[in-house]
Amino acid sequence: MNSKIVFKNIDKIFITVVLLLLLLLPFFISSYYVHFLIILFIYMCLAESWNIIGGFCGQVSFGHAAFFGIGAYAASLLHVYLNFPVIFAIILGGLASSFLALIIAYPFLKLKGPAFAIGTLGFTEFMKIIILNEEKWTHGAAGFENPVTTYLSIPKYGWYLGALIILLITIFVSYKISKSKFGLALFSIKEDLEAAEALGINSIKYMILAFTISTFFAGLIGGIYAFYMTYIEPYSIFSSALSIGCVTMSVLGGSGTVIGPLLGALIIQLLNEFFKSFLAQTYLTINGVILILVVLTMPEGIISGIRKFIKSKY
Amino acid sequence: MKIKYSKALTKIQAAIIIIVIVIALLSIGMYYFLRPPAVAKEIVIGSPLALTGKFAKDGKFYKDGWELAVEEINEKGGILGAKIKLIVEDDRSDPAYSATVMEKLINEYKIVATLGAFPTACTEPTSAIAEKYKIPYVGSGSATWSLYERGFKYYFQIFPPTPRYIPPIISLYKSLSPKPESIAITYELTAWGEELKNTLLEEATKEGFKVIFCEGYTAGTADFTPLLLKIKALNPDAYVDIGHTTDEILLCRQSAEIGFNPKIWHGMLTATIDFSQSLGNLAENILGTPAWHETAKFPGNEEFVKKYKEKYKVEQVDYHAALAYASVQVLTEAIKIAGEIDPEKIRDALTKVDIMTIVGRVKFDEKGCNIYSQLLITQIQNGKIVVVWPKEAAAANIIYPKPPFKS
Amino acid sequence: MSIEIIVNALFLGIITGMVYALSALGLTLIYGVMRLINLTHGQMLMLSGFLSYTLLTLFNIDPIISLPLVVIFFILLGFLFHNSLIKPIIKAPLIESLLITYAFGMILENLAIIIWGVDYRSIVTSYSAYSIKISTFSISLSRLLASIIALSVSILIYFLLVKTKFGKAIRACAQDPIASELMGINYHKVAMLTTILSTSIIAIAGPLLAMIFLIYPAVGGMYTLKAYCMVVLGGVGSALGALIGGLLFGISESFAAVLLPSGFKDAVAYGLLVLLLLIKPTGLIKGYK
Repeated sequence: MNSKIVFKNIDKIFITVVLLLLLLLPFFISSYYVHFLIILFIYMCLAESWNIIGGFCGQVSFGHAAFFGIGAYAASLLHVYLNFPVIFAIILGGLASSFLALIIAYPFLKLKGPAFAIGTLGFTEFMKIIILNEEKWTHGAAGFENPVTTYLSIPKYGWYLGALIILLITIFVSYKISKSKFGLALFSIKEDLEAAEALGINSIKYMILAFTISTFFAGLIGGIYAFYMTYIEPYSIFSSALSIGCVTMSVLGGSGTVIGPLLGALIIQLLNEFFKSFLAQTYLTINGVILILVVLTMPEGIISGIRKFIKSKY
Repeated sequence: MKIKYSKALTKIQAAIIIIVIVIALLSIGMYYFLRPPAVAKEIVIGSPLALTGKFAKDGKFYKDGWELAVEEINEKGGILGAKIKLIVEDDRSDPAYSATVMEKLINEYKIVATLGAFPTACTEPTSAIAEKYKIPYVGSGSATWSLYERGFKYYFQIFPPTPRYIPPIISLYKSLSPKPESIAITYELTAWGEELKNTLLEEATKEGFKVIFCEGYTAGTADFTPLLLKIKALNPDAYVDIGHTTDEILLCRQSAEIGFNPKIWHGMLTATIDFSQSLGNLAENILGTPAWHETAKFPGNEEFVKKYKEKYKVEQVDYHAALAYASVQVLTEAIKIAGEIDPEKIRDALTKVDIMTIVGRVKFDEKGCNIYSQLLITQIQNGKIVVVWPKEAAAANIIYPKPPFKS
Repeated sequence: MSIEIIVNALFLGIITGMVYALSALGLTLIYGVMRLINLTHGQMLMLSGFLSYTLLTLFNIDPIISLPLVVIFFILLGFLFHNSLIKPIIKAPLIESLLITYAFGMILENLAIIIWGVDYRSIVTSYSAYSIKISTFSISLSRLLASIIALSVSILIYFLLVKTKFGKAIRACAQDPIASELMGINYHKVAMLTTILSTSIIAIAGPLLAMIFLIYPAVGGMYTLKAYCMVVLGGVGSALGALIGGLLFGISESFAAVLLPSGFKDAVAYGLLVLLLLIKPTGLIKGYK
């Protein structure tokens, strides 16, 4: 099919090289860049996990931040009040997110389309208000402090690895889904729900499953965030801007592809850093303009846009 | 939609990948090369600051206060023969960015001390980072007590901590006759609001006051009328709100609208021109609790106020700016004591600092808390903001009970 | 909880609800005719509020008197908005409208920050502090005026939709674009006029909201979300539904603030929405969807 082949199985070699690079990088660059990468991994994980429900399955969820937050708070509460070790707390945080997602999944997903989007947006705000007012355990508006000893007891590299591993697992799961029959079902639901149903696909079941998987990873990475930053509070965690940001990153890079969300997250984070120094006041506008351009010219995202472009040349 | 994944790499794909890698390397390279080079004999200090985003307005006051102070010091030749270089970078009022900027400042710009971020949500992670890298943190923007309880050695804060807000309020109320018996409290749902509310609740109950109402609201609430109606029905003697100026303006106006006239109407941040101007007559006799006021008789305060108004062309000086200026005063004193531009030595010197700044005397205890920080209680009388408590700082007597609102 | 408080809350809710209803009406029109989710709604409300505020502070024009000016500006804005951003995505997947309008909203918000700064502003007129007292109830004059205007405009628009030829064309397009074209209605022209109508309604609702609440650049997001809740509450695609949704929303917000700690007030509104979505996803009034 492709006549100009450089290497066979290059992807396996490529992935190994990239992995090695990522594992060794922190030893060669300054602590600041390691921090930058950790934050980047967190955003990438959010975009990638959102993609499972939003990109593969086509159900635009504006509630991703809510599940990020639930994971963050759950992991923190378990660690501080019940002395769960960090790793367990994080995993349980992810499970807590999925569990909550499971509860609201059926009624919300039944809505489909715009109502689902608005409903999940409302859910993010709803979680924010609940936590804001919950003063006894989560300290509400005062925010929740994770012990600094926890943060200091694990070297930066540990946090780096943790975030990276969760990201890699998310990518792997996403990849496996995209190649599986499950993934095929999701894509068909996205393309044409009625036709998929006519073919015997129980759409609700698949959507719920996708939603649960997607929120699990959001919750996991939320736990890492909570321990690494040592402090979480409702306004910045249950933020609709963050929810929408997940969608933006994923769509920019190419929702529906596996590496699209990663690219989208990378571009947005780099742009933000870059423009921070030059045009500080206008970063919202820059983001907005870019988003508009992408939607008007390459609605499938950059990766898909590039693929189409390549295909059209052959 | 095709999901096919070709396992082989075409030339075009290889080219694209190479381009992406090159761009990534270029941008990393740009960071390294566009960084300002370290000049010998310079004291580099820096802070992440909310220059855009939710807290940008107060952020500007900090920047202005810091810059004014640094300018004055550099004009006099700097400290220890070196000029101060102040680096302030936008953190978008976002804690994660704030942390990133702090990491950058410490690792890339090699600051020897930081003047801290604000508000609390940003102070938390940034102070943890400073602690990790052993960089002294002289903050002037967070009252939250839990920040002191983390056992940090590098965290110093001159802003009055939440427990200090309450004693002047309680002592004032106790001095009044007839003594107000019942108190209604409203507070904004933020870290600051909640902590203050908890302390007020505790102290007031301990001193024999009855707190008959206590509810929180999200800052920026547009409509307080239902809330105020509930309070009015309970008829408290004193009403205390723990919130920011804009909410308090609305609370005051809507109190007048529904005819809610407690004997004491006490806000936190009412000692501003915004408040008295936008409310006109309605602002009469409202109490406020600023951490500093233009008329406070501290050394250097008058000149500071004059210079600030001249340089920044404003009608009044916000207390954030004053505290920011004072934090620089404290830091430079510490550097002088240290005798060396070294973070560890500066940190040790900070524990020995004991000076009078424009916001009052500053000396830190072992938790990094300013022992002498205090708050004043003001009242708006005839359109003017005057300090009415504590007695030593008072310029006028409090008008009590508060006459009903008139339009 | 005394009767006085409850009645006061009801009264307040209705008054505020009427202005909410107007804003919901603007939103449902675009959704009905073009099946687009317009996330710029809140930012436009914010912008029209700021415009009114500026006219007041710079030229001392009362916000009610300056309404026609603001409307003219927004007619132009609507025209530009439709032709540059909306038209390309009318037939596109939902997510595109979400993203484009969200992006445009961000740009507007940024514009507002640059021009007016992040501060909270309030519209202060000579009669702002004046309130009308009826036995134990008192209501601020500006709030009352705002709701009267909102009510009148809502009724006007409703009649426009039901009685006039233009209104019928809008409803036809909302029901079935293809059939309408077959009937000789120029769908695209109607779509454009609908957008302009929507932005004009926003131009009126914005300053009214500003008279009751505070304006600041970030308020847009909240307005948008609330407007959508009202639209879904009342029934997507129904003009009457939007009006009823708005009223209900205002009343429930008001009651929530009184019956619960006011921090929960917003949660109740969203909670109500969620509840309704679960029980009757098409909303209370079946529209032409």
